[in-house]
Amino acid sequence: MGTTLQYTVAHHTFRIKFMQECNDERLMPSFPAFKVEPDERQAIFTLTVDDTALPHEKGREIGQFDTGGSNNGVYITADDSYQIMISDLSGRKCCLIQANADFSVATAALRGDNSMRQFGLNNAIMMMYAFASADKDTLLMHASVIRYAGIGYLFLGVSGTGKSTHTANWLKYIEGTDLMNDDNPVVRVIDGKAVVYGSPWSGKTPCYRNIEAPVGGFVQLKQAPYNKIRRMSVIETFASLLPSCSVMKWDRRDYIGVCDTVNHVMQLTNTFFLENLPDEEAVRLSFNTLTSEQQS
Amino acid sequence: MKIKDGFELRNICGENIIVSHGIENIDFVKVISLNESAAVVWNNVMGKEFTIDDMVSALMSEYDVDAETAKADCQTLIDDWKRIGFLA
Repeated sequence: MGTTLQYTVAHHTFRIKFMQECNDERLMPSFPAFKVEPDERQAIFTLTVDDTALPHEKGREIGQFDTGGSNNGVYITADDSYQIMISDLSGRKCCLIQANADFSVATAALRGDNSMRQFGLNNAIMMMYAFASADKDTLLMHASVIRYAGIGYLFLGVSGTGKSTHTANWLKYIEGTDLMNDDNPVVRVIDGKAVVYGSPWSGKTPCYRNIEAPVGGFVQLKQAPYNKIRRMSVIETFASLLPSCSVMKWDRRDYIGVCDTVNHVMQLTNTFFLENLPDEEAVRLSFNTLTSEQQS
Repeated sequence: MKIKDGFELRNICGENIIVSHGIENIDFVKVISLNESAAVVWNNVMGKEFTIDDMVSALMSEYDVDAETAKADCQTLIDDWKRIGFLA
């Protein structure tokens, strides 16, 4: 019963199974570029979309977490499985996820109108992806990513720091750049190299591209009344990259997996701290610094 | 005394960094790094009940230091770790 669809994001395969006909891939408008023909390969998770899937028991509350776009109530049951209630910014409950301890198998019960269902399913898949891949040398990061000469550059900072503004200025002032993703790229370590991938998640900017590039560097942004860039120390870099990753702090498998991947990525890349104005000079400064690193 | 569950020493690009996980540490957002000798002490006492004397002997087995200096250093370390919230 049901319809199973298969997707690949950053070379990780997952399956979405729709149990009811009222739910289908039209709920996933950012995913077509990532859809693949179904085959037998190993998937990092299978998410069954079943609106009748309700919990037998309510777990212990871990906490309520804002992710910027949504609020997630997280509960854990006696057998270490998870329940996550995803609510939209108006507080409407859109999706209940029930997942096993390593997020390899889960159900999602959607509710509400079409936009709530889209919102709930999209966030459910994003969480499943982040938590199922955490121990597989993979990071789902909060960053805006620019590509220049085949290399990807990631700009970090809390929401409102001006990541999208800075990368929009790259597009405006630097010829030959394109936007890989504006909010949630995937970073992996593959054959000893850090690689960044586009994803079906990109915040407010529709930029759902199935593309990849070697990581050329990270830039932590901070607004300032001047432009200044410097290399960050190991400790600063760790304190900048780790909070930029989707991670469950209370879950050792997930948290240590992400810490170890951040460590791998740090060994392979450089991170800079850019205090900046939203202007052309800031872009020239970060462009010159990052691209001269590539040549050296 | 004992180091609380959920604090773990990881080597991050050559730095000894304490990461924290677990429900009890959910609000712990600092990144703390230890120098080489503090890391030696940490590795010797983590996961069990310990006294300042355990810390001192860990330090003295690894470094050429007299007992008095070692004890004073360990007391400073205890004060730091208490202040940060590592100790139960």
